[in-house]
Amino acid sequence: MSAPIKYFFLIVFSVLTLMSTAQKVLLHRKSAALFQRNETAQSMSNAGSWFYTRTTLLGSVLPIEQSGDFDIAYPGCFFFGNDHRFTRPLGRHFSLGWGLGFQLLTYGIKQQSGNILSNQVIYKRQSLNTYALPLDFFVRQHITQKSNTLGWYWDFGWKGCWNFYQLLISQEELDPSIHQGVGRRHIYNSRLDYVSRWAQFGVLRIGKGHMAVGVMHRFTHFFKSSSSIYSGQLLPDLPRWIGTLEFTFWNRNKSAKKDEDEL
Amino acid sequence: MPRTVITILCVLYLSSGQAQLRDCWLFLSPSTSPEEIELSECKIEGYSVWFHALAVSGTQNPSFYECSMIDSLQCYSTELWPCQLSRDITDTTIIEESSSSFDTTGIVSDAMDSTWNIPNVSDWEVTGDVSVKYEQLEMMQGYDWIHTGFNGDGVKIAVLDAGFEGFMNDSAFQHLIEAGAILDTYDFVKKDNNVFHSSNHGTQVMACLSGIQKEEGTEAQYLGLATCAQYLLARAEQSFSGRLVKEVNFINALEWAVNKGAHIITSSLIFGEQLYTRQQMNGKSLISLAAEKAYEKNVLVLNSAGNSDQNHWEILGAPGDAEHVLTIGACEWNGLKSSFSSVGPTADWRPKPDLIARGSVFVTSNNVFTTESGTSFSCPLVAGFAACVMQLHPDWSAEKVRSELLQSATLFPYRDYAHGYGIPQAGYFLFPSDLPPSDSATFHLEMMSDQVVEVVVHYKEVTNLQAEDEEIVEDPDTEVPEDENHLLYVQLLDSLGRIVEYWTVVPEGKMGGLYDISGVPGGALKVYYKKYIQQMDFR
Repeated sequence: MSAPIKYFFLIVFSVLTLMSTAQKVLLHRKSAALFQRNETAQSMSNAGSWFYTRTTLLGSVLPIEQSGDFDIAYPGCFFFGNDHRFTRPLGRHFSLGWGLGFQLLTYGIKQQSGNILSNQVIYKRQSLNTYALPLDFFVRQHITQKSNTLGWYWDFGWKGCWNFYQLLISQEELDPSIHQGVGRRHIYNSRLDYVSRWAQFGVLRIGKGHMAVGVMHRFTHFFKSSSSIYSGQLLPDLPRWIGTLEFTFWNRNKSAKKDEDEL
Repeated sequence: MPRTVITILCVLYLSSGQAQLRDCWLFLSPSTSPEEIELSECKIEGYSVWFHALAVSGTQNPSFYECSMIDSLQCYSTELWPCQLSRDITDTTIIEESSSSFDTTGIVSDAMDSTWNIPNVSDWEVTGDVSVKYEQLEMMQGYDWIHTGFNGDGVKIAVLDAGFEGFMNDSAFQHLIEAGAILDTYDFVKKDNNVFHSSNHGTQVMACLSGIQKEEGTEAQYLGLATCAQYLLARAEQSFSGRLVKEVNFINALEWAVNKGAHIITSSLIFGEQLYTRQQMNGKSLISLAAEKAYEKNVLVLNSAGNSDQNHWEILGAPGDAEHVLTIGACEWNGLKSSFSSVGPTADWRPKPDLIARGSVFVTSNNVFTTESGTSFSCPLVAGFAACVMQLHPDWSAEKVRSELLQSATLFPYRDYAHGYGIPQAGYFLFPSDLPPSDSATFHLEMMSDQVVEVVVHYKEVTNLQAEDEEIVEDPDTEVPEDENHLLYVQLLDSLGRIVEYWTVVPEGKMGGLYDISGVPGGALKVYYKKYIQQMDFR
C-alpha cells in the first residue's frame, strides 16, 4: 500500500472513530454577546428623525378609461417599482415623506388596422416600455396613531418621473411564404422622440405594516409631438391610472440607531 | 401644479421644526388627584393606581414642569428610556388591597357536580395531531393531578390576552360557562366588558388552562389542568397600538385582576421586540414593575417567555424579565427547548426563563381542535399546574407556590437560560416520597488539559424501578446504549457565576463531550445528567 493511501485510510479511520463516539449536540448557545449589540427600541413616533423604508411596487395599468385610438392589451401591461422612502412625523397624525427610486411601466398595445405605432404593419404583440427614475413627495396620515408604518396609514402625494429610456417592442409572426420557416421576429425601437421624457403622477395609497395598495394617476401626457410620427400631431394618450401593490421593508435597528445616539 | 405641491410640502416641512413627540408617564405627587390634571395638545391615555401616574401621549412639550396645574410633577419618558426615576416608584403605595388568602369554597366543582353536561362532540371538527394533547399534560405528570381529583377548584385565575373570540360558543368551555366560572371580564382596549372578539389567541390559551374535549363513548380529555378554576378574562392588548397604550392597558389589567382577587395571573402577552431595547429587559420597565407589584400582593404571576429565539430579538420580553414572575418557555417532547422559545438571561444577567412546558399543544377555538405552537400555550399549562398546587396547599403564599414549583422541576437545582429549571412535576407535590435518588454519579469530569474538560458518561441500568429494592447496575466501562435519550446539560460559568455558554447534548457511547474552558478564567463548568450535578471550578 502506497504512503498516500495509507494516510488516507488513517484519516478516514480516525474521523469515523471520532464520529462513532461523539456526542450529538442539540443546543449550543453563547450568552455573552446577547446584550452587546448597539441598538435601541423602535420609536413609535420616531419624532425628529427620518424613518427609512425600502418599497417594492408591483402593479398594472387600470382599465378604467378609454385610451383614444390605442387599444390596450391589459394582460400585457405591467408596472414595477423600487423606492427608497424617508418619512418624518409632523405630529401624532401626520408624517412627511419623500422617496427616490426606479420604475418600469409597460403598456401592452393591441394591434388594429391602421394603428399609429406600427406603420400600417399588424404585429402580433406590441409593448411600449418606459424606464424612469421617480422622485416623490407625500403626506402620510397615521390611522393608527404614533406609528411609522407599523399600523394603518394612508398617503397622498406627488411623483415626478424622468423617463431615461423608452423602448417599443414589436413582435410579428414570420410568414413562411416570405421568410424561411415559421417563427417570430422582435423589433426593438428605443430612444423614442415622441415619448415625453417627464411625467407627473398623483399618488394615493393605503397600507398597514409591510403592505399597501395604491393608485397613481398621471397628470401629464404620455406622448409629445414629433415631426417624425403622426404628421407632427400629438399621439392619443395612453391610460393614466395605475394600480399598485406595495411591499415595504425596513431595518428596525438601523432606523432606531439615531434615537440611541440622541440619548 | 407641481410647483404648488412642492411649495405646500416645503411649508409643512419647515413648520414642523424640531418637534419632539413624547410618550410619557407622569408620576403625580401624592397630594395630586389625576382628575385635577388637564393637559393641552396631548392625550391622556390612562392612569395607573399603583404608580399614581398618568400616561400621556403625543405631547410636544419636552418639559412637563411647565404644566402649571401639576404640582411636584415628575416626568418619566418612555421615549427617553432608560432614565433615572426621580423617586422610587417601587415604594408606591398600592391603593386598593386584594384578598391574600385563597377562597376554596369550591363553587365551580359543586356546580359541576350537578350541572356538568359535557357535550357530545360528534359535531366537533378535529384537526391536527391529536396525540399531542396527552403529552402537554403528561410531561408535567398532569394526569396525576387529574386522577387524584385536583383541578384548580377554588382558585381564581386572571387571563390577560388579546381577545377571546369564539370562547362563549366553544363546547370545550361549556362546563365553565354553565357553572358560572367566568367571574368577570373587561376589555381594556375598548373599555367595556366584551372580551369575546378581535382574537382567538386568548381562547386557545384558555384551552390550555381549562379546555375539555369529550368524544363520544370515551372519557373526557383534558387539555388543561385548571378545569374547575374560576376565571377573570381581560383583553389587555391591541396589535399595532403604541408602546404607551400597551403599557397602560396591561398595567390596568394587572390592577384589575388583583383587585378582583385573582390568585394567579397568567399572560401570554410579551412586550419586547419593537417596544423596548434588549438592554431594557432588566425588570425595570413599568410593565415588569407592575407584575412585581401583583406578586407583592400575594398573586402568582406567570408570563410566557416569547417566541423570538429564531429572530434578531432572541431573548424574552417583559414582564417575563421581572424577578418574581414565573417566566415559562416552551419545550419539545424530549424536554429540549423549542427552537422558537426565547432565551434568557435578563439584561442584568438574572437567569430566566424559570420553567418550561410543552410548546406544541392541542387547543380549541370555535369548536375546532388543532395543534398550535408557542410559549403562549406552555404558560397556561403551567398556570393550570400552579392552580392545582394552590388547591392542594391553600395555605401557601404565592412566594411559597413559586418556590415549590421551581423545586419540582425536572432539572432543579440545575438551570440554564433556555430551559430554566425544566418541567414542573406533579409527583413532587403528590408523591414526595417517591422521588428518585439524585446523589449517585452518572458521569465524571476529566481534565484533558488546562483548556479542555471531558465529560465521561456512566451507563446505569436501573431495574425494578417501582419496587423499594431497586437495583442499579453500574459499569463505567459500558457505553450508553443508543436507545437512551436522556439529555446531558453543560454550562460554562464565568467568575461572576454567569452562564456564558451552555450546551444540551445526547451522549453517545461514553462521550459527553469535550469543552473548552480557556475563555473563562476563574469560572466553572457545571454538568447535569440524570438528576446528578457536578461542578468543576477553575480557580
